[in-house]
Amino acid sequence: MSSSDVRAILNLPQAGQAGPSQPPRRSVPVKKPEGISRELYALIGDNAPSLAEAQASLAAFKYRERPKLKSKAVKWEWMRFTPVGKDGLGLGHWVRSDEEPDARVEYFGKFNLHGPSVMQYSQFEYDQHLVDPTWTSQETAYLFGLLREYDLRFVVVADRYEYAGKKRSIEEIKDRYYTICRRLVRTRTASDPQTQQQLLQAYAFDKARETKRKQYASELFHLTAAEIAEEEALYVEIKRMEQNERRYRADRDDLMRTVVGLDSGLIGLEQANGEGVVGLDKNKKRKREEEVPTPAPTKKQKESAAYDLAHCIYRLPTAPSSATSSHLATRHPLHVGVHLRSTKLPQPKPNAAIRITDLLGEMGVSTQKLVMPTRVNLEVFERVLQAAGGLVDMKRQVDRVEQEVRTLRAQREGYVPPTRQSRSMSVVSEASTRRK
Amino acid sequence: MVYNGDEVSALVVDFGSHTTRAGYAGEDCPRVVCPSFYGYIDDPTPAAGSGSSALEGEDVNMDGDGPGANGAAAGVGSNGALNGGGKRKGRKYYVGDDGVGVWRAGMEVDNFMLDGVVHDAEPAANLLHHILHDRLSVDPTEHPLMLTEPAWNTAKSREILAEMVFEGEKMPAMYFGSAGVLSAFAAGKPTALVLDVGYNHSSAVPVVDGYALRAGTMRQPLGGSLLTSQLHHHFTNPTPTRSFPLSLLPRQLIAKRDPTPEPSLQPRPILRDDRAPHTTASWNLWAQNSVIEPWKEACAEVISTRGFDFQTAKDLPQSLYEFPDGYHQYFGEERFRFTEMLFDPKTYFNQSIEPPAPLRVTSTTEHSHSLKDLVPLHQLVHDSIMACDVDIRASLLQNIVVVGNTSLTRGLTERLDVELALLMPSQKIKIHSPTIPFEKKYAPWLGGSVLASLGTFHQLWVTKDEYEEHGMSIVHQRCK
Repeated sequence: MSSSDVRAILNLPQAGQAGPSQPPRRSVPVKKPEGISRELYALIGDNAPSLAEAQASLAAFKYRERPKLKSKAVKWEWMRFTPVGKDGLGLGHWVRSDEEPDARVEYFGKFNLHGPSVMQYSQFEYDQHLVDPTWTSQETAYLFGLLREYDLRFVVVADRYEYAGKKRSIEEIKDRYYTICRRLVRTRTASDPQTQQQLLQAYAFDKARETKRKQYASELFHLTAAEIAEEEALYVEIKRMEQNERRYRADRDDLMRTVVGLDSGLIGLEQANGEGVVGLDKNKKRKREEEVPTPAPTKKQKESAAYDLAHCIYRLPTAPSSATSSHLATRHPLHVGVHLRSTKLPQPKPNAAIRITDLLGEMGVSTQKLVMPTRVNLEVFERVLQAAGGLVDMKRQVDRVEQEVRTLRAQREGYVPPTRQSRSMSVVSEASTRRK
Repeated sequence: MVYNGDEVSALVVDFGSHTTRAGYAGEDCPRVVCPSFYGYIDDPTPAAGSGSSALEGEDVNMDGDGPGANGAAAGVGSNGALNGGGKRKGRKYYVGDDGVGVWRAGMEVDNFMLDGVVHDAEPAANLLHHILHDRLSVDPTEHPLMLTEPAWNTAKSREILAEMVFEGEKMPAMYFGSAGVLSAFAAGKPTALVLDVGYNHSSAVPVVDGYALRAGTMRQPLGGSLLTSQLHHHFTNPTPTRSFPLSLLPRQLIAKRDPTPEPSLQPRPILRDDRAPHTTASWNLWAQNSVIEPWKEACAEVISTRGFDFQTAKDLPQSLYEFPDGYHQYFGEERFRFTEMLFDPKTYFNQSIEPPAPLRVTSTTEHSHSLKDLVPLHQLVHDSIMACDVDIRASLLQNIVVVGNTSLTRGLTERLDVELALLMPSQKIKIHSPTIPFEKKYAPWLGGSVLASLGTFHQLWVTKDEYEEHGMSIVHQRCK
């Protein structure tokens, strides 16, 4: 039954056909698409749902092919083998049949190595160099045997050590071994003196120091909770103090920068602390060096003076370091950086700056800038400023004195001697009162 | 094609005071775990086979107590009779799971371990035979054997074991692994301090680079066994809250149990009267202890932060437990009071209670404490570390490995940490304790399993030829 039959039963017009005029039935059926059963296709006709197409596409999808293993499964065999260095022991293990049978044994065999090599000595060498009153030859041999057995693990050797019922400490054992090593290295002719030195260094051992170190370490082991708390408190305290110092130093740096104008004239505190006594000595030396050349100018200095004069080099005189000046000044003489003279024009005295500026302005001299600020000009300018300052000061004094004179004069003019009259009056009045 | 191990199918057997563990090297769990206790019946007439079979015939009637017990036990028994033809003629051994756990008329119970070492060759050989032939079903001549030994193992015990392995079982090679070292290996550490809290002993063994240091090895008979004996006294005597002693009857002796709805009431089970007269005292004690042990595992705890004291004991959490005879109760302070003994033996170990006889063997020496002067576990660790060189103490303290069955007690590791920190406040302490129970219980076996499966280990086997040529000296030389 096709869809056209259904439509015919339900009296519906044929799909795709307008009007009642029915065409002859298609005798040739449309080719059934893949992936859909015949009955189902007969029911739904060519209105094949998309699922069928999807199924068809799914059917077209190729999964990855199963790998074609040509090789057979690897065979493992239980093989007898003898571990390296163990003759007569027949152990068994599983081995791949394609592997050569001894590979694994040899692979593990190469791990059967011993630890660091232990120094060897001959009896002759022992008699010559290695005799020690506290050790017998047999005990030394026993020690070396143990060291070989335990691959120079001194802790284990000291634990297992028992020679004639006697135990020895790790330090004794190490001391003996390293002493022997050093002696042997020294006596044996070495091809390279440098390596010999290195070996000697490597075998260095100080028994007393080691004993002391262990003693200290074991003392530290049993700190009580209170002691730890104290230690921690001290640690916090020292941190706090360091911080304080740092803040103090920053403050002082600031202060010095504003007062003296030093950029970072002060040495750091850590440096100062670190130097300690040595630093003090250094300072003294430096001071002495400075003092020595000043009294007698040498010939060289004279020459250089002449050179300076010829090339217009002017050197600032070094400030004499006197005992009274502060240590800061001696250590760091007033340092003035390189600058243009025009930027450092002398300023008028601050207390009379306005009047000096006015005064100079009247005379046509600017205090703000100076054309050609050569050294000489600057000196002249400074003198002018000083003179102007002096003048202003003088003027101020004169003004004050004049003012005083004026007031005194005014006082004198209006002066009424208060002596006689007033006194008599008072006497009169007194008398009158008496009379009354 | 090289992997970590080279399988030579070695066997590992770990004789412990309470259980013996056995299995294949390279596996992560022993195949066989069976008690180290054994039962024996001294037969006055060695030839009377019919008598013994009659006794065993009684065993068949047991209801559900060890299925298939009869056959295995009888087989071992005959084996034991074959092997033990030496000094004790006619003694019949019952070893393994179906040995001591099965009730037999007139069967005595003993343990071949004493002071942590194998001291009785005959039952030990029987057990080894049972393990190899009946449990693992292997041909011993094909497998090398790794045995564990305590750090204080005696030359005599080694001789017994070597003879057992080479002459008794004809095994091709063997090796003695020190239990402390193997436990450290199981935890993946070449340097460690191993605290083993086991059945008979708690021991501390410092291990450096795979060697156990003799100087720091400490042990004392403070372990599960002593705890059980104290608990046994507590349960079998009336207490202020309980007016009657507990019977501690094992299932083997109970025919029927009436349901007791109310807790803390005295139960009235119907006993197997046919068995009672033939039960020996030693078996009875063993059975009662095996009633207490599950209680201990289920209920006992250690207060992990602070110590135990009677004032606050009332507030501790309770838990319900039912004994085989039907008695059940909410247990409170008992759960904490007895385990406190591990950390304060001076106060909580009652010396007036007679301790188990095997524990009294341990005397006070430089490396051991007797029952008279037990020290807390943390003190044991401390003493052990202090006996070592100062340079290795720090690394030992940071690698404390806690193993042993009694260390499974809840809160034990945490408490140890607290106590050690109090004892050595300036030191950094790190406790490593395996989280998986069987890794704690069977740590030495596990280490042996690791070691014996390494391809690089094979050079260390003591072979049968070497043993026959050099005797015990080669064993002592190789297993250092």
